[in-house]
Amino acid sequence: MKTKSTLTVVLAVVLGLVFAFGSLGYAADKPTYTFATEAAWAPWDYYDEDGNLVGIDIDIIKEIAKLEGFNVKFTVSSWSSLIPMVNMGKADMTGGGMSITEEREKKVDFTDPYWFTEMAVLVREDSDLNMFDALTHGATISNQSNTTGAEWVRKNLIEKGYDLKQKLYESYPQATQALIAGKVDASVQDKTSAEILVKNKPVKIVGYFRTGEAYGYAVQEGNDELLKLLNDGLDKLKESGKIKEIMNKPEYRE
Amino acid sequence: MEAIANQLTLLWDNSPALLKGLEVTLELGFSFFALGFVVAIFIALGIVYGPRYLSSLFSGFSWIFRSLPAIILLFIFYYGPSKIGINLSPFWAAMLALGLRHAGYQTHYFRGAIQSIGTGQLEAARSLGLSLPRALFEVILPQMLRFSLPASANEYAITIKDTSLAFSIGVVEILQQGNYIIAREYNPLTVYITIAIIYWIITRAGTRFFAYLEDRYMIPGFELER
Amino acid sequence: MNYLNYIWEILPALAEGVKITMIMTATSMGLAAVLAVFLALGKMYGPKPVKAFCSFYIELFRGTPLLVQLFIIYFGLPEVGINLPSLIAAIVGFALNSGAYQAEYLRGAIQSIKEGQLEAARSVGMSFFASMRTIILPQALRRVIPSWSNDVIYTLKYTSVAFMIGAQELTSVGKIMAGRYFRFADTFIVVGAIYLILVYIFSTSVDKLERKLRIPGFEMRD
Repeated sequence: MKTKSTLTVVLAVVLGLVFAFGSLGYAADKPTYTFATEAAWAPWDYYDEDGNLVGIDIDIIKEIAKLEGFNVKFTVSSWSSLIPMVNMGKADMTGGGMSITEEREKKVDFTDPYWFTEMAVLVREDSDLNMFDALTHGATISNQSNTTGAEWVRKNLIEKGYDLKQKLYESYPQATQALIAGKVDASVQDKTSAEILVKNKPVKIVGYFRTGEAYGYAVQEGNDELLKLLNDGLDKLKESGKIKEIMNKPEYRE
Repeated sequence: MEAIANQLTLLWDNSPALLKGLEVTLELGFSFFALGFVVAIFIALGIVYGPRYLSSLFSGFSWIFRSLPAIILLFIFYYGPSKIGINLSPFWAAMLALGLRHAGYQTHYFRGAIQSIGTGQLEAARSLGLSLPRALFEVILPQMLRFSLPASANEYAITIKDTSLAFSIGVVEILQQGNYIIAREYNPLTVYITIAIIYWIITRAGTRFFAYLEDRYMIPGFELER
Repeated sequence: MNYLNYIWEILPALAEGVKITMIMTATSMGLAAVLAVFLALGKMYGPKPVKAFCSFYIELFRGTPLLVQLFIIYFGLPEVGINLPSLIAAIVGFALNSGAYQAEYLRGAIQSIKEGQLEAARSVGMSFFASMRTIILPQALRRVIPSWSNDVIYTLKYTSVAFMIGAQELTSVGKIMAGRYFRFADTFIVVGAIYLILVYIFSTSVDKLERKLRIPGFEMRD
């Protein structure tokens, strides 16, 4: 009887550890770099219906990997942890509609910009707020945590004393859902995805504002080797027009 | 009605992703439960039979891991080790955080079980010439495991659901898979209800399994004095 | 800035978070306690449909993760027209969830009181509700204090997930600070320490309360 119970415990432990270790092992041959992605923001990086990781940034990185001769392994994590992951070395690079900012530059190194963007202000389809009202008159705005949109609202509106509230969510889809559901009056998001949202969600854009920001990919500070590979790849893709091509793929425009 | 049929088809199309998530949930759940269980055995024995300083240290450990919110533990185990140069993957950070937390609770139950066994047995075993390790593992341990079964069953029900928190440090288990689907389809109600049902099934199945263990291993007449 | 300076810097914001955490915990616990009485009595003594509903409710809320319940209440309900702001959604979620667990503890406590007492009360002409109110429940409530306080601590810790539905409690503030100053482990250790302090204060207070209310000879027994 005692042997049986000890055996069961041992078996459980072994099984448990086998499961755990099994998930760790994989063999690599070419230099493999890991790219950390949020995978929850169409069209930049998201899962499609068949469970494949797709998106503009996913495609661009895959192209660069092909051109520059390395393997890329994608690892998925929450948006807020992407920069820390690269900073700590848990991943080699990251991005995904990620804007180059001074704050972030202190923690990671960015490639040259590959796309310029602006902020858009979204409200519900049936709302009659204009951009000015939405941003100043006691409204509530939703943003994703740790994004340039959230920072802009905080620095330029809330800290300047305008009368409005900000609600932060873990992902842009959640910020948008909050808007559609009526939990907030407006949402401030990147222009590209906002323009896609209005096509089939009950929201509309009431204004834009220029922030002069651009997207780039981030690598660990001092990782000049990978940075050079990425910049080289980006240059080639810009020249060959491939970036525009990827951005215009029909599935990324719907 | 059409809306419901729509939702069901959507769910069916996305089921491979959900199943992948379920696999990770079960992997994580069983792994950390096993880890916590084994660690708890040693800690519980240490607390009851060990020297004073060890006992206090272990009790403190058990208390800290029981009193910290699970999500804080997850964050600390994910971001913390990097400060001292160790890089844990999300899965391992979750394993350690949830596993040690589970150990904290399980230790508590084992202690209760050991205390109801009574000190007399250990003395008797030793007076018959058994060395301390043998006495502990052959006399005390089997009874401790047996008596803590009901509490362990309860603990399982509680902790398996805590795997749902692991997505906050990047483990793509079933809830996160659900979030990805919602990020695309914007149908939170359907997806979350489905996931809730799946969790309910896992919890029930586990509790059923523990009930089976209880039937097999509980000796009538030797039940825990309530 | 060094560690102590950093803690000093973020403390005011964290304090705000603690306030919200306490409000969330206290309100949902109060609601849960009331809910628990109805559920426990319904499950034990109610007519068949009520019994079935109470059992189903308890089974449902104990068998599914709290986080999923919160997501359904906050993100899912708007689809059927119910729109709750973050704090309210969180309180409702914790109340509904904890209510289920507390109902079970209360049921155990009620069952531990000799059945004879209820019979005796009824036989001297007291209505069911009067017997419950004046005789059974006061004893049961006394006996359920240990498990109830356990549940309060559990809820206190679990408010830490409310940030996922937009509530501004302690963990939410911690995350924002950590992201802003880029000091993750540091911040979460401080936040963890605050939770430990809260839990410690609370458990010792409940211990004192238990001791005051204890009537020797009337402890929880078979």
